[in-house]
Amino acid sequence: MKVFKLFFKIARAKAGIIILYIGIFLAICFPLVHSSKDKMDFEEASITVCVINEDQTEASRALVDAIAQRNRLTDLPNDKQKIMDAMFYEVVDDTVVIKKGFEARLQEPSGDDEEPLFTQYKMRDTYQTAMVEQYLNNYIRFVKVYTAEGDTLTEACEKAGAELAKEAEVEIVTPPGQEAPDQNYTDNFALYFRFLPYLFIAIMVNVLSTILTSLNRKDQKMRIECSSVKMSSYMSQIFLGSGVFTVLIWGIFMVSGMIVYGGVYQGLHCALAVLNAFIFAVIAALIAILISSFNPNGTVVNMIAQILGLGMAFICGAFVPQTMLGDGVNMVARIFPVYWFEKANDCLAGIQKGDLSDVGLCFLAEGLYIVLLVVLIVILSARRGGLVRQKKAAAQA
Amino acid sequence: MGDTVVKIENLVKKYKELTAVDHLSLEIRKGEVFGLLGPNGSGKTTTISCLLSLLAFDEGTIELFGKTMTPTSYDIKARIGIIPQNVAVFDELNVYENIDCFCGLYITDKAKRRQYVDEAIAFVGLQDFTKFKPKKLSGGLLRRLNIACGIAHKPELIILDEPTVAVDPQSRNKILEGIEELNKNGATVIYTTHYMEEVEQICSKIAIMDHGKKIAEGTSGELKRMIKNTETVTIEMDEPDQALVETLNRLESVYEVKWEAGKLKIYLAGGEHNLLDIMDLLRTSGVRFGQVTSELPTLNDVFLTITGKELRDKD
Ligand SMILES: Nc1ncnc2c1ncn2[C@@H]1O[C@H](COP(=O)(O)OP(=O)(O)O)[C@@H](O)[C@H]1O
Ligand SMILES: [Mg+2]
Repeated sequence: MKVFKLFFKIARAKAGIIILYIGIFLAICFPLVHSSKDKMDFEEASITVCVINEDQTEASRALVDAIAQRNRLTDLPNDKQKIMDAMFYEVVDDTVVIKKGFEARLQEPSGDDEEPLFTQYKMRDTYQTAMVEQYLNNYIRFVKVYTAEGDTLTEACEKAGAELAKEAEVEIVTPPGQEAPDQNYTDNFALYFRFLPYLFIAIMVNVLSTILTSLNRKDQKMRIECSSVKMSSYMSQIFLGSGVFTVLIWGIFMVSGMIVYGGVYQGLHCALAVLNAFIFAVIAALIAILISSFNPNGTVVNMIAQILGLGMAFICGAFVPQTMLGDGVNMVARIFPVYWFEKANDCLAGIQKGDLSDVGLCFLAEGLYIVLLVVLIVILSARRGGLVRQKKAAAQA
Repeated sequence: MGDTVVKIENLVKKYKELTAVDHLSLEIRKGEVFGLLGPNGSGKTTTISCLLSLLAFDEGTIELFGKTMTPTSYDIKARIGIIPQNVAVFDELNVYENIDCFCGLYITDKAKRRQYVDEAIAFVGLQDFTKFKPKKLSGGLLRRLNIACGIAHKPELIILDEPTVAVDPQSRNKILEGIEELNKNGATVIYTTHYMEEVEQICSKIAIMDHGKKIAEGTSGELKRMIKNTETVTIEMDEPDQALVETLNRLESVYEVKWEAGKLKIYLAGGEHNLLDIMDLLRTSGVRFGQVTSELPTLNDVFLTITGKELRDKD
């Protein structure tokens, strides 16, 4: 295990860089994570909604009151451009227009009218906007059921509002086609995890690939080739060293994540997020190994680390969430592994629409990168090994 | 004594068109300090690389300690210490850790290794620098570290490839003395260089290489005897008359007399009383002369005579 030990002796010389990265990251993350509230509770499920009441009837006013019970209401002029502007600048999260004829159509039996009673404007699909949409649908359904049972419209509206309010207190209603956010995997955890790809790539490329480059430098390797250490044992010890190093870095970040957050990981979504981070740590390590096989010097390595790390982090939604990035950017970002990490992370935290099968798809995409990288590394090292073998064959001929 | 440690026969190594080593044969015996002398690019490093099975070669056989050398001859490798031409140490490790790491490739016993590493550090005189990283060492100290990394495990055969390139005179002397001491302690040494003074100083046997070929081999004395003149006497004087030149030429050991720029040069074969005979002759003929110097030939003269060019390039 001499080479394995050597690996970590060299790694120890790079400990300063690792500590620097972790230190700065935690220092930035700590206030970020603690600036928002700890748990996504009922209060947090509420958003700023603008309700424009075109109908101005008793029934429509009752609905506005019902919405106001669970969300913050704000006023906007009934002008599509102004509404879009307000949403772009995030003055409001969601706008619901109650169309004229709302009360009249509420009393008609359902089925024959396909035209919606509302127009909803939103910038992006979030859990909360989906909740508002679902609330409206449920409200209509309840009102229709009660009126069909013989209640007056006023009574039906009152009952529907009360019923839905009761339901909301018990649990956050899960909108159709979306997993409920895991109460354990909160936005705060997700925020911490979101930055990990940048750190993993920066640390792996900066540290792991310089260790490997050092160990594989021609002159040093010659000394090792001259010694009584078998080359195969040398390679496997280096491989083992890289593996342990990767697990170690991942472990450090998982533990410091709990420290920053001040809680332990619990539940399926947390477990999957931790797994997602591990998969990405492996990808970052493989990228580092690939880079080291070109024997770059220190400055070049650092440059590659920053360009790859920052570049991918930016366009793949590590710094700016994917939901805020344009469709074009998200389209291009798909070719990078960071995109799939972030998407899985967002889905797990309920920041993006998507269920566990979407998360699985992201894992699959990340797995493909692992396969691709391994194949590239094997081809590159085989090409070099092949050259040596050719020379030997030529020598024997 | 007399055991053959290295036996190279008809070694040929080609890099595409270029023949870097051309039908080279060498035999190195136990206890020798064997000098491989040749200008840059003459194939010394290539020979060493083939010897260590780091390079596949085109023709020939190589035996070490009486066994054929292969890339998997780990038992043979364990008996060799190599000091490569380029300093090969880890920048991330300090002096002690570097020596310990390379020694550890051979010596697994911890206590023994600590002792060996300490001895190697003392041997090259790096006691005050054990905690220094290689980047902080001067060229000479770095070379000494390079040597310590190769000898700490006390190998029987030590191969040094140009260990004194870009080294200050003080470090160079220390290195040369060290090699002699290693040899006294029983190690066989192969020493490659393009500095003839060094091989003359420490090598018991020398092979001169040029363009991958061995052009001469022997002890320093043997090599010098191979060339005709063994002594050059230079006398400051006015142009001598023809009669004097003829008289000098008639002396038994003299084979050439030349006058150039106020100096008379007399080339003589080996013999006793050469200088005395010449002085007597000059006095009796009554010519006035200034300073008289006598020079023995160098390996550069040997190289010059055989190849028609200087051994040392411009440096
Ligand atoms: N890897 C290589 N590929 C091609 N030519 C080489 C290679 N290594 C050395 N040479 C050539 O082989 C010749 C001998 O080189 P080398 O053994 O390094 O000489 P020395 O050590 O005596 O200075 C030189 O002409 C050099 O240019
Ligand atoms: Mg050389």
